[in-house]
Amino acid sequence: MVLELAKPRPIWQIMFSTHHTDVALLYTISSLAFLFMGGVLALTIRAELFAPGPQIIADSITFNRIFTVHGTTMLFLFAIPFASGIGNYLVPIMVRYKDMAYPKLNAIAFWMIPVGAALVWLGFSDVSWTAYAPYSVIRAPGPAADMWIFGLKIIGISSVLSSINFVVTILKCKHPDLPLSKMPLFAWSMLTISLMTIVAIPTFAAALLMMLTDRLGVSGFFNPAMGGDPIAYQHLFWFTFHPEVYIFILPAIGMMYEIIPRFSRKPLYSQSSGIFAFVMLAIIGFASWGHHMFATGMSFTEKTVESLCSFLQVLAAFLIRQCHLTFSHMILTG
Amino acid sequence: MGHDTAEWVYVGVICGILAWVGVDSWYIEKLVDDVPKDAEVIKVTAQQWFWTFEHQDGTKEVGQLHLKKGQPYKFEITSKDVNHAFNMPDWVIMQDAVPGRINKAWFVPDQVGEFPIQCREYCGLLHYNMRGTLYIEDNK
Ligand SMILES: [Cu+2]
Ligand SMILES: [Cu+2]
Repeated sequence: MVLELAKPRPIWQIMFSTHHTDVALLYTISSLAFLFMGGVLALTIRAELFAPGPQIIADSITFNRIFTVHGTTMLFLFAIPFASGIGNYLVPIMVRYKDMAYPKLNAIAFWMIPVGAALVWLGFSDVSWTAYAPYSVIRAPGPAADMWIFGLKIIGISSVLSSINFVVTILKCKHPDLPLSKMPLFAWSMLTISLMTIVAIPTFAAALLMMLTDRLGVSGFFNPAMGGDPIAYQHLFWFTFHPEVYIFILPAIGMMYEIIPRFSRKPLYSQSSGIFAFVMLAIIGFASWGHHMFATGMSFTEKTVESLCSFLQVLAAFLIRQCHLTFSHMILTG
Repeated sequence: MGHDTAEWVYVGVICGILAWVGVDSWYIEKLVDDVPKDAEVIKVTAQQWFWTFEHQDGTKEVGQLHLKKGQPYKFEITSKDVNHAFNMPDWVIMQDAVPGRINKAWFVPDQVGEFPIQCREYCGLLHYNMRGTLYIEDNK
């Protein structure tokens, strides 16, 4: 950023660049733009709900479309690309490499996002961000819902591509003098979420395809009228999106790990417990998706197992908090 | 106190709280799962965008449900089209209505009055208005 101010370049030079700092700028700027667009929708929702009864939105379908696009925008067009942006800028520097491992792939992954975003925003679907079947299969109006499916498909592919890039950059292009255990924790958080993305996203990608063929009427995976099971969709969905919660939050925690020690002028209390917490969260994150489905009619055993996994999850999350405790300890005791 | 002691005390306290909350919620979940034998079955059917209730004697009500105070009731909840959720916030009952499945929930009303019933799973155009009323009457 500072470099850009000191020596301005025309915007198209940044747009057609494959250098990691340029792609990082594109990611960051576009994700912030989406944050504001999603924020406008959020303010519209709040203004509508300021008093009971209709206020500024003409009908309920418009309201439903607005909260769908708001949720989709915040999660897929702000949270994920923003982490990619910061990661693109810092990870190559932190692992001491000249660029990302695959610069062109990096740029391709970025440029898929505007395409997916255009589909989501032009379609303005009303499926809600979870797009639960069978509503999304048998009742949601097209072509909006189909555009939503294709949009998310493209964004999903984009995030898998950029994750592969991060994993290869960190594991293969890291400077040989820098052991993984000494690698900055922000880079560790990017490594963790990239691996999680590669494992998590394909499930949702499959669910999107099944939803699309269901909508076309050629299959009935989630359509009870054709022998399908709507709960199967929820399992596939949450198997991706419970881990996704950690994919959203870990880069932010990685940033705190970098920022707080520098500003409190104390070394990090324990690098290894930070790494341990990331890895724990990543692994257990894949076991507790069912806590989003307690009201769907799960059996007692399912509920017990999922609660247990969620408690372990909380424990791992508290291990991260432990470092925050350390920070306040450091600050208070000087 | 050294660093390690502080760390282990912290982890120990967290584990203790989690174990306490975990055992307590497991116990409550068991209570919720265990339907009383003498419960009267109410078939709850959700569809876009209203509720139908069928009593054990076959009488049906739409949009309203009349129950007796002190009598245990078991709800068998299902849907005719998309997912809905049967929610009576005052009685802490919430269970999804999923087409092709029958989900159960139970309660014993111990208070007379009028209580809201609402759909708690997004189900399309009039989801916001998919409501009903629960009337609990004295059992003489
Ligand atoms: Cu979750
Ligand atoms: Cu409903």
